[in-house]
Amino acid sequence: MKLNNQDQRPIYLQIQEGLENAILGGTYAEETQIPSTTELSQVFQINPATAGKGVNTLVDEGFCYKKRGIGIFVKKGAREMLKKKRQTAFKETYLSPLIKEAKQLDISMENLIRWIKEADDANN
Amino acid sequence: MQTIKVCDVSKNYRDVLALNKVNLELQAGKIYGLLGRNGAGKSTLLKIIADRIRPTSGQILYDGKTVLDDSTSRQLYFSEPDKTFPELLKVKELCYYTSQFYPKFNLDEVQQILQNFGINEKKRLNQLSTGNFAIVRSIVALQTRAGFIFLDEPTLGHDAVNRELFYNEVLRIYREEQNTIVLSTHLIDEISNLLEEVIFIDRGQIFLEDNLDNIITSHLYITGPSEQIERIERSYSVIEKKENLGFVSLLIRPTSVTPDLPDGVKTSRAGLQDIFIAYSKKKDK
Repeated sequence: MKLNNQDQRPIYLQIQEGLENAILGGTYAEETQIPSTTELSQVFQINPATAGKGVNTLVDEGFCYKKRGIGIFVKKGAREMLKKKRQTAFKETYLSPLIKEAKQLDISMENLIRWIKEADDANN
Repeated sequence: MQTIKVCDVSKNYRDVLALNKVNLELQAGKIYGLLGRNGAGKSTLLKIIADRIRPTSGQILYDGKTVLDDSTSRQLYFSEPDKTFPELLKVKELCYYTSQFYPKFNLDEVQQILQNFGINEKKRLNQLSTGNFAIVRSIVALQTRAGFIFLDEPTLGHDAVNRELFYNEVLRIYREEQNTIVLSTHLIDEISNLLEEVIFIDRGQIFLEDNLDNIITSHLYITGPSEQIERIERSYSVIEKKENLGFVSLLIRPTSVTPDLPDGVKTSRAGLQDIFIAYSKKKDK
């Protein structure tokens, strides 16, 4: 997990996204503990309230839960839920700008789809 | 102490109006950034809060009381860049005397921290470089673990490595004490990650005061071709307008999170420093 100083979004959102990625990637498995507010504050040199806000958003959105006196844990089923959330956001975050740029460059839809397939083949 | 309230405080130095009817409430348990340009009134405000100088008008309320008595003054510490300590004092002696007034002061811990910064505590204050003096006074200030710690230009003269060590120390003390730490500086981007609340001051007046995340999320740059931007410009309160090469960039406070914008107009976030500069320029006009 890394913070990007060029990224002008609020730090708590970057913390939230970083933790989400770590859950998706399996770094924090379901039913295991995620870093505490104190640890996040130390490692990233950020205000603990900011770190707490990032963590609490994960709790509020139902991906994590609090064990009183111990810490925050990844909920069972959180990975699937996160995937759903990201899939919903995919269109807005990735497809819309892609299509906009393609239109600006007069790239036809057929070409675009063909290129995506070609790129996928090249990756496999 | 739970709150410090600044009520209608003004300060004149002869003809110069250093503070102009400032109102502010500082709450317990937060890190504040008091940000402003040189001569904005940061130090004057802090000196008045710490009762080093008197306001020309207005008053400071400590938990509702106008007077700093002995027990409340132990809950407040102010560290300023001016050399107010006897200059022949040794670092060790400064620590000792401070610990006599602030009961949580841990002499062994300070010794260790100053060693990490490579400072010899047997030195006299007047033998320290500007940077090392700034470290000593800031570390001593934090170690008082007072409920309200005011650090005026804490990193003046620090090199990059020491600034990093110092910021870690600010956060460590804050995590342990949950106290209020007010950092006054003009190095905005560097400390922004430490802050919870931001106070912007310019020409003796506070012109923006809010939670850091609120400030960041409530401002937006919109950039696009001149004619497009000019068509929508009026619907927003514009803080700054930059024009170059046929493109116009506006810093706005949109009323909704995702304003409805025409094609070709792009949005981007502004950093705390950008926002500060934009407001300062606006006031210049």
